[in-house]
Amino acid sequence: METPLATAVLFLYALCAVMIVGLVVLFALKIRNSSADNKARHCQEKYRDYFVYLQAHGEEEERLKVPHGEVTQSEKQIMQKKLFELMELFTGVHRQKLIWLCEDLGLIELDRKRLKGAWKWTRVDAAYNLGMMRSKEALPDLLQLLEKSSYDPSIFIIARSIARCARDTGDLREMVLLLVRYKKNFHELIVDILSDSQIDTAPLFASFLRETSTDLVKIGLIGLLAQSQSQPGIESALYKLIESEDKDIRIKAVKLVCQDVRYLTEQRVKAFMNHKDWEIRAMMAKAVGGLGLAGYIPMLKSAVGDSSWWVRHHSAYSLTALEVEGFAALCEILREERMGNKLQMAHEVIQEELEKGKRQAAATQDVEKQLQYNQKLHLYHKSYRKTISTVAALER
Amino acid sequence: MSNLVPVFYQLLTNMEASQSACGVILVACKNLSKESVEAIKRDFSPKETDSGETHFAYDKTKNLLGIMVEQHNLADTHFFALRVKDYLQESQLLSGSLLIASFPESSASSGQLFMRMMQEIKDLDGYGEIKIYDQRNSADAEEQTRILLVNHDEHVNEFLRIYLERKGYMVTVANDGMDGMEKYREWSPDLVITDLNLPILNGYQLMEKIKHHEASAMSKIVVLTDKRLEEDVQKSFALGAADYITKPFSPIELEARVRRLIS
Amino acid sequence: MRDFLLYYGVFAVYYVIAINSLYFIILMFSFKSIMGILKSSVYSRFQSLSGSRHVPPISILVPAYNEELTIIENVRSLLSLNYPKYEVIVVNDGSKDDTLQVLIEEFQLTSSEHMPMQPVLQTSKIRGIYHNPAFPNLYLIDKGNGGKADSLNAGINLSHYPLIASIDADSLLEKDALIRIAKVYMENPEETVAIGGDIRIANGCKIEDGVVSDIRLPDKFLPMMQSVEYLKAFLGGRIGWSAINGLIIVSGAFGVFRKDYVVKVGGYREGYPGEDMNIIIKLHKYMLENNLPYRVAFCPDAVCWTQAPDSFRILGSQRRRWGRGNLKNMIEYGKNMVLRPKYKVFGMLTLPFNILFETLNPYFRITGLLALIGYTLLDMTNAHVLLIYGLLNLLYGVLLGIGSLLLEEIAFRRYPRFKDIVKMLFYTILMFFGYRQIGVIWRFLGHIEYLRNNNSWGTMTRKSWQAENKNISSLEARG
Repeated sequence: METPLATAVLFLYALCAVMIVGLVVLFALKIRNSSADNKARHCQEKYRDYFVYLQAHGEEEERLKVPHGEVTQSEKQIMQKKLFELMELFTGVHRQKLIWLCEDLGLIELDRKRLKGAWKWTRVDAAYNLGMMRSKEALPDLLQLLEKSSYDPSIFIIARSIARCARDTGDLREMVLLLVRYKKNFHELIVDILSDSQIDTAPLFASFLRETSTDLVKIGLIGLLAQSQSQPGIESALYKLIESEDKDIRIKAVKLVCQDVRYLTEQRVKAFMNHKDWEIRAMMAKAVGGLGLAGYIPMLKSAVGDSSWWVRHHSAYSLTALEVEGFAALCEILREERMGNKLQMAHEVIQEELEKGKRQAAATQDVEKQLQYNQKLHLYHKSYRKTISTVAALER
Repeated sequence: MSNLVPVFYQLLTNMEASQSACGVILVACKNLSKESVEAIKRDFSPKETDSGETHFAYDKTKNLLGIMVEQHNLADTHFFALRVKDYLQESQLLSGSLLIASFPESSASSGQLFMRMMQEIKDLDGYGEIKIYDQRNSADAEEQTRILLVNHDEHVNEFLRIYLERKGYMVTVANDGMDGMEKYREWSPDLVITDLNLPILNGYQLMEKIKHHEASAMSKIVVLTDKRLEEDVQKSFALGAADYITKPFSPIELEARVRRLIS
Repeated sequence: MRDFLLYYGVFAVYYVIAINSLYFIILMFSFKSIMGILKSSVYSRFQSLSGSRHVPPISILVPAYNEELTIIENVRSLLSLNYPKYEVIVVNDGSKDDTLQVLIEEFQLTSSEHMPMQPVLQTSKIRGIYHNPAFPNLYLIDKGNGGKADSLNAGINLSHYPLIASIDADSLLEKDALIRIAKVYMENPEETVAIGGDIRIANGCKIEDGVVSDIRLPDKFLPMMQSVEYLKAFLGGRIGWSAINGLIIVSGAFGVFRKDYVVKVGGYREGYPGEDMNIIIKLHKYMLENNLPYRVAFCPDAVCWTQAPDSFRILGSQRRRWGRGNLKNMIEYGKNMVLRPKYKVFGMLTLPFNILFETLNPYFRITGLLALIGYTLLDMTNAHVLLIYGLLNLLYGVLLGIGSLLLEEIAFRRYPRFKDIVKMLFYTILMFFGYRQIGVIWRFLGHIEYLRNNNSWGTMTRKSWQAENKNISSLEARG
């Protein structure tokens, strides 16, 4: 009778002990946190005028001066936070002067020491700080830290710091190689991280297109897709990628091709519009409208009858984007088809386009727009009369 | 010892003649005894200011302490003023604010500017504020360009207020879209610098409202934001933005664009 | 008889130890990942990320049933999130009030009769889709009443983006909640099928213009209890469960999903409550059966504020509904998946845990207590057994509560005042004197309702959803 419960009683004592420990830690932490808050507030008050000085003279040539008198280590670290907030806002000389100030305060040196600290999260803290201060000297250590890290959220903090401190594309490349090791496919995030670097990343992305690793190729494609200008000298690599076995690569490569009208020969457009991947057909259909290539109206018209909803959708919308001529092609579908997906999509898009046109015509003084709307309405009525039974059937 | 004005006037005229730079700090103090003025002189002896000679003068009737540091530009003078303030505050001799300037300023003669400074410090209230003397705003407050800053990030607001005020603009700050709209109505600024990510009303809604506000024909809108998508740029321009700047930004460029827009 | 009661009582004692020890282990997993969460939350520049081209676009689905009082405020708030590219799709689920009209009026929406919709999921009849080009990322679907899950499915059909977020119409998202979740997604985009956000209780907070401007603990008893309860469940529980990929639920009030997989598992299933747990179970099942690497993540720094029920009647109906939903899900999926090695952590740990300690919890607890009381009545000399049982429950529970308060203090610190922590601690203890017991009974009642009304789920769901939403006081009214 006593025995079965003895363990339970023992357990109770253990629970009490753990609970007391937990309570002590909780209150100690609470007190520490609030005293740290107070200290930070006090420090901010103390250096308020100094920060005004920093912000008022960010433009002149010489370095900003460190505060007069003794500045304690903890004060420096509180100041560092505020300095980081400012640094994040600026480019150019304003940021550079604050970086120099951090250097003069001894913060770079301090964090380089902490980067070799024993505790993991101290190292991550230091890595973040060094990234903010764009410390080129710390770069080899940062790369090493990333190399030793296993997959968890901290690797993104370190990677961003590397991007910020990078001296040349070689550093960035090394960072990317370390990141793709984890095999987690966070390609978009890598490209976002690379955009924090001060170095022009376009040549790096272009070089990735020729790699064999699909990860690097994807990163290269995503990077180039985000650039506003097209990168010269990638055509041959790009055309090869269109044939890639990886569907994702195929799609992204075609997307990149579709961004630039110079790549789009008639043969290529035809091939893409008849591609086995519906994504590629849809993308091409969308691009034709976006680029205003009125020559492909017949092709779009037949693609409104595609087996994929998305291809039908984009083809029909692209036709509306190609002025009255495209719209006329849509109306022809109404006449030619008797039922089915093609007719339905054409009908829906025509209706929406007319609604939109009506609103626009009412809101604008532009005679051109009003004229265009009337023309479209006329086209629609012409085909509508002939297919009245179908339309009525649809609308019921 | 009410020799502040003549002494400094003379010194400044000499400086101007020899084309050398200097900084001037005027401080509203409590009544200083001769000893305390001497103590101040001693504690700020030249060896600490590393370059140039330092002159002190005290005006007994106005309770004004003047300090002139040779070969100091405005930034150095400002930095020096931080120390002066701390010192006076610690010895409980400070009674009002500080006004700083560097000479030679561009246009008017140093002597005249100094006299205007003396005027301005009389009107300056507050305690322990360090104000940079701006020859422009004392002259023509009416003609200053008025800028409304709408941003949720207090660091941006604080910095741009300090920065743009130094460039001679009049600046009002709002923390969210609603606040921004209210200040816009009250103040009808010449130019609005707004973020797109704002609480309550976002940047687009704010622009929409400004567009439909009656007196809006006059004010230009500059978008300063983290958003880097083409869609956002397009939409901002469609809603009447005159310029679109993404963060992080170069303050110099921002000011140049602002100047272009209002000219 | 006496012996049997005693042995059963002893069994109950060890059951309590076992259940709490497992909770404790989960809590330890939470502690293990908390530093990573903290650092990644502090050191990510979410402002900058919210303007990035590389963030995936999200469709926010807002099912609304009789929400005329609060819907405008909430949609406005949703339209001004800090996020690069997203759309808000409000689904009016055949409301009986003016939800549809107030939305149309406020945003000057017009009916787009021919807006193309890709019907990938079955829903009840769509009456119309409304849109206004001046608010290009707002859509309103009007449809016949079909329940919450049906509304979500309709939203999926219209949605244009690869990720969907489901949000309750009476909840309030923090401005950067979505971008925080997106970051978790971006860190592992291919394997992440769902991410849950942290739900916190808004009662007592000051809410102005759709923004929680002053965070306070609730003043009333019941919301305060739930505040502590949510903190325990989300911080102590879900962080830990997500660390071992054993999360069984992503709260319906705020979660983000990959649309392709939601469609593949057939969308949300209507007919009984607990559709939020149901979709997660189905996702686990699908991914494991197809041998795809995946994770269901939890993002504790993405916060959604919600109004907690403040009367026993509504709270009771909510808890009974949870009990019903849980039992139904366990009967339907649990029995096929539990203890099958094929289903890995989910089948070997999460489900057994859920069945033993969540679903069957009321039976063990109630009978254990009754047995011990019975035994004590028969033999007063051994009253200490009852005491041990009670103390174990209390102390272990409080310990777990302290653990989650500690997590909160380490990573989030949303309640900075000292007296808040004392108050929360007090309620953590108080919870074991009455509140927990009532909760157990509600759950039990839920099971009874399930067994009695197995066939009439649809109507019951809608009724209670309606009852709850009507009675939860509006965010606006409190502002």
